[in-house]
Amino acid sequence: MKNKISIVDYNAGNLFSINNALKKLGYHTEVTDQPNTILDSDAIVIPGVGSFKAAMKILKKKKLDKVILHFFKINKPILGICLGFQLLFSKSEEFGLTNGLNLIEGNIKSLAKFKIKSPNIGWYKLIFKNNKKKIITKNNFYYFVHSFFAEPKNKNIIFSYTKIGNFKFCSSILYKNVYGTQFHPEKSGAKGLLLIDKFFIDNGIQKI
Amino acid sequence: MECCRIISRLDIKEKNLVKGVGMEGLRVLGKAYSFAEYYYNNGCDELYYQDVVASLYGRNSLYDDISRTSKNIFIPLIVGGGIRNVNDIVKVLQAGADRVSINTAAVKNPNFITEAAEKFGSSTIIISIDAIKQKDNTFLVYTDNTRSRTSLELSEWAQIAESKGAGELIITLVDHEGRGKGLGPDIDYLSKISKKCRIPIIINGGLGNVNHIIQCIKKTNIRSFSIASIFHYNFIKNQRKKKLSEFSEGNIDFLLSRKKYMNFDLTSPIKLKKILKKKNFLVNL
Repeated sequence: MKNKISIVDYNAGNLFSINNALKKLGYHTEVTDQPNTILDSDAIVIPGVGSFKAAMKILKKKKLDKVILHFFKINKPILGICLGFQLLFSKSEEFGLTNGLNLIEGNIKSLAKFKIKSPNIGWYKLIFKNNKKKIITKNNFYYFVHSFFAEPKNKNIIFSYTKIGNFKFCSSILYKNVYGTQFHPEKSGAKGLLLIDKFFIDNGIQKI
Repeated sequence: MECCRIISRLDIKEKNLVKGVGMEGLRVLGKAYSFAEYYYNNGCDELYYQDVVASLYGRNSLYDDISRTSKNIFIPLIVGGGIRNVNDIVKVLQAGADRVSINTAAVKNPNFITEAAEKFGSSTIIISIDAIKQKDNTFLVYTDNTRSRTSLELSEWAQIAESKGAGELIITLVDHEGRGKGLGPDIDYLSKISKKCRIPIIINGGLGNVNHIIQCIKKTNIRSFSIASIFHYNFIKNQRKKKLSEFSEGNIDFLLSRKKYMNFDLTSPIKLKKILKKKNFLVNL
């Protein structure tokens, strides 16, 4: 039995690259904004490029905020990428304070406040905690494009850190059924695809 | 230290990859996608498609290239050329581009940058600047593929673009483009701009070998380089004549004559990055 991964469409760009990446890996996908289709699927991806505030507004308007929360509660795998990762947190300071999905306790903060060139664009290393060594590949660079970063309250859920100069921030989290990345695994070459594949394989999602 | 970012720039005219010198005298090299695929498989960090004709008509083949690229190549893709309004951006992004570069339309109406940045996010909007050195040693901004001169000074325009919401700048010093001789003393000028700018900058054009890149890193602190000739001619050189005719619609005799290669240290993205790594620069390898 093949499984289906829904890519949540909330008008926030870049649905195509993650969809193409999943298809290349052999998964059955659907790009959708329909609550029932999303709830029926076996896993979801929350992609995203753009503004936190605008994204939350559309998620609420389409009633997708509740759908994502329900999906989380029933313990199905969720992959959040970039803005889709940030939306999982309590609130963001982008354009004033905006409440997020609050699935993960913590805030989204501005890089510029820490005197980092912003947007930060380029390839950065993931620094894993010791017990997560098994997925470290020799080449450890992933593609980032962002002006904000996440600060989870519970540091135990941090899966990797990344450093821009001496500034260290959380670049991915693993929490229950959620994997969230600040970087773009779908744009990080073959090793990025490997990371996506590993998350869905570990969660028992079967390919076509 | 930050990681160097090696971007393959592909100038596209209709369905072909082309390359000129000083942005003129374009020569057809072959099918753009074949080159892009080779660069992806050989260590390139990012692709940059520039539609050099930028006509409203005949862009279908560009969209085809973008779409094919995004289905098979999993690194970021910048697309520029002929982007005049929000609708043009939507089309390019929907075809599968990740980010767009805008030149002429932004100079004509700087508020377009703000409009686009608000709609698509700052990081999606790159402002491409073509500048030519004048007799009085200032650099003026040119638009319409360098056909029209403006009265804007390069550093002045860079500041405006940043304040209007651009996420990144791609700067071409046109006199150096396609020559592979490095940027020489003009690097100092870029260094000044880099110090003033709070957004990242990509240097495009003129870099013919690894030392030119190292000079730029040391003097400007810029880490992102958009490179065409040294990769294109290297790829062509390594193709057998028979295979070359399969992907190239250009003048194969010219391509095989290797006349144009003289100033360039032909290499692939991965080999270039290996040399940078040996010299203790951080690269995605």
